[in-house]
Amino acid sequence: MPANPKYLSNPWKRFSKLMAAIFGGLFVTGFLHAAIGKHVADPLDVTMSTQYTLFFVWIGFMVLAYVIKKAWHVWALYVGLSLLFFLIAYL
Amino acid sequence: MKLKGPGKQTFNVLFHTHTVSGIVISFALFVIFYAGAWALFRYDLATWENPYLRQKINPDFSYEKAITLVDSIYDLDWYRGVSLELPKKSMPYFRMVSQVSETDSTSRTLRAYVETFSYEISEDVKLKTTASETIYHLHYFDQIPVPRLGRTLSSAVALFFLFAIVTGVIIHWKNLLTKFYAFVTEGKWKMIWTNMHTVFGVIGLPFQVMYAVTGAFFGLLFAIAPSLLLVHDGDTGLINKVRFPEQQLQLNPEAAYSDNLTFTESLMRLKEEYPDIEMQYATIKNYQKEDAIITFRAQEDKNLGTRGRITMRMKDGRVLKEYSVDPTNKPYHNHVQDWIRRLHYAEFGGFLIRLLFFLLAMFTCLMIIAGVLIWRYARDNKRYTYEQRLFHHRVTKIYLAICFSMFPAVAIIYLAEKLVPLVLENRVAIINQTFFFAWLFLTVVGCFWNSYTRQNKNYLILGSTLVLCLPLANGLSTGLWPWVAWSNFPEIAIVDISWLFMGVITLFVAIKLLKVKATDKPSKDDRFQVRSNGKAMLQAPGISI
Repeated sequence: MPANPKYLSNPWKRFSKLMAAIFGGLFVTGFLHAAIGKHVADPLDVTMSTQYTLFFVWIGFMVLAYVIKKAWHVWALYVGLSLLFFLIAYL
Repeated sequence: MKLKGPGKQTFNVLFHTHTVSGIVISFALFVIFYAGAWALFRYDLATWENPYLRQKINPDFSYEKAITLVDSIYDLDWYRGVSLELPKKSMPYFRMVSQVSETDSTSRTLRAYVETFSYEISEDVKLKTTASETIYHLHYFDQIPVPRLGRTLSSAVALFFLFAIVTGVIIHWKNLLTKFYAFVTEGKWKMIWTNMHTVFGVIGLPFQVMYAVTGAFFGLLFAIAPSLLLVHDGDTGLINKVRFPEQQLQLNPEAAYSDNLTFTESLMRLKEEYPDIEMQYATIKNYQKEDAIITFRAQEDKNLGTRGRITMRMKDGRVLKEYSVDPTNKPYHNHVQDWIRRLHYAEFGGFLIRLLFFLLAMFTCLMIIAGVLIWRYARDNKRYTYEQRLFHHRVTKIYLAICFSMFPAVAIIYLAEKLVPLVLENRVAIINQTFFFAWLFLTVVGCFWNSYTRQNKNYLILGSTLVLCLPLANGLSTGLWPWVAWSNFPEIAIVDISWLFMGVITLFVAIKLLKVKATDKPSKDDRFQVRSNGKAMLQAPGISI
C-alpha cells in the first residue's frame, strides 16, 4: 500500500520542495494577510483573524507545493507571490 | 457513495507526504494528546491531589484585612499592579500576586496565599504538589530547559498535524462518506488498522482540526509579524493592547493618597453595574492613591464569548469604558483570542465538554497508533529486505513502548504524589524524577517484548493495577477514604471512584479481551507470502517478482 515510488522525485528535489512549502508558504501567507489587512477589510479585525486563518492558509500553500510537479515552479510561484503581496501591502 | 478523488500523481505524492509527516510527528503528537487529555482535568483533580486545598471558605472573610496584612509584611509594588484571586473551591485561598523587591535591589514575584479563617499567609500552597502540573507542562514539552523551545516545538508538531490532516482528508476523499461508519474488525490486520485510522480520523476531524490550529497558535504566533510590520507600523504590542486595554492608562507613581473605595466596595459597584458577571480575578494599581484603578476579569465559563475586563476608578467607582472589554457586548477583535484559548483549554460548557474532549483525545491517540501500525504492516512484505522489515518492526516497537507506557507512568506520578511525604523539602523534584525515570524504564522494558499485543497487555495490566492503588494510597496517606470524604469533599470521593472504575475496566479488558500474539518480529525464513486471493505460495526469500 505505500505510495508508488514512480510518482515520487529524488531526495534533493524533495528537500527543496519541503523548504519551499514551509518557508515559501509562510512568506506568501504572511504577506497575503498583510495585503488584505491594508486594503480590503478593517486592519485590526484582519490582523486578529490572522491568528487562526494564518495556519489554514499556510497549510494550503504547503499542500499546493506538493501538488505542483516541479520544485523550481514552486519556488518561482512563491517568491513571485510573496513579492506581489509585499508590494501591495507596502504601497 | 463515492466522491471524486485526486489524480494518480497527486494521490501518490500526497500519500507519501501524509506518511512521512505522520510518522515524523507520531509519538510527539501522541505525548501531546495523551498528556493534554489528562491536563484537562487538572482543576478537577486539584483537591484530590493537594491536601492543602481541602479547606472550607470563610463566608465572613475580609479582603481589606488580608490586603493590609500582606502589604504590611511584603511591601507590595502597587505601581506595577497587584493581582488578586478570590477564593474558590479548587483554590480556597485568597491569592495575591505582586512584584516585591529583595534586599539586594532585585525583585521577585510574590505569590501569597491567605487562609480565609486564620488569615495565615503562606507562599507555597500550590508548589507543594506537582503531578497534574507536570503532566500539563509535558503536553507542550515545557520540561526542555531552553525558554519557549518546548512550546515552539509542540506548536510545530501541531502545524504538521494540520498538514497530515489536510493531506489525509485529500487522499481519503473518495471514501470519506463510507469511512464514517466503517467499524470493521474482521479481515487482515492491515485492513483493521486502516479502518481504525480512517474511522477515528473522520469522526475526530473537527476536534483534531481545532486542536491543530489552536495548538499551533500558542508557539507560532510570530508568523503574524508581516501584518504587524506592514499594516500596524511595526506595533509589536498590538495583541496585548487589544487583550489588556487598561495597560494603556498612564498612572502617576507620585500620586497623592486619597480616601478611595475599598476593594469590597468596588466589587459591590461592579455587581450593581454588571449584575450577571462572575468575577474571580482583579488587578489593582496605585491602591489608595488618587488615580487608583481596578481591573476586574470577568470569568464566566458557560459559553465561549463571555470573558471581559472591566476597569474602574477606585476614587469614585466610575467604569472607564474605553479601557474595558465589555463581556456582554464586545467587538469581534476582542473575541478572537478568547475563542482560541477557551477552545484549547476546554473552558466552556463545564465538565461534560472536558469529558468529551478527553474521549476525543483518546480517539486521536488510537488514530495515531493505528497510523503507525499501518505504516509497519504495509511494509511487511516481499518488496522489502529482511533488514528493512526488522527496522520497521523495531521503530514500531519503540514508538509503541513510549506511547503505551504513558498510562502506567501517569499512574506512577499520582501514586508518587500520594506516597512522598508532604513535609519533604524537595518532594516536587523527587516526584518529577520518579515520573520521568519510571517512564524511561518502562519504555526500555517494553522494547524487550517483541509482540505489540504483549506490550499493550502488559502496560494495561501494570497501569490498571497502579491506578487501583491510587484510592488506597489517598486513603492511607490522608485518611480521606471515599466514604469519609463523601459528606465534606464529594469531589475527592468522585475522583477515587473514577480511579476504581477506570482500573477495573482496564484490567478486565486487558486480561479477558486482549488476545496476545506470540511475536510480531519478522522471521528470517518467513517464506510464505499470502496473496490477495488468500492462497499461500512458497517463495524463496530475497527474490522479488
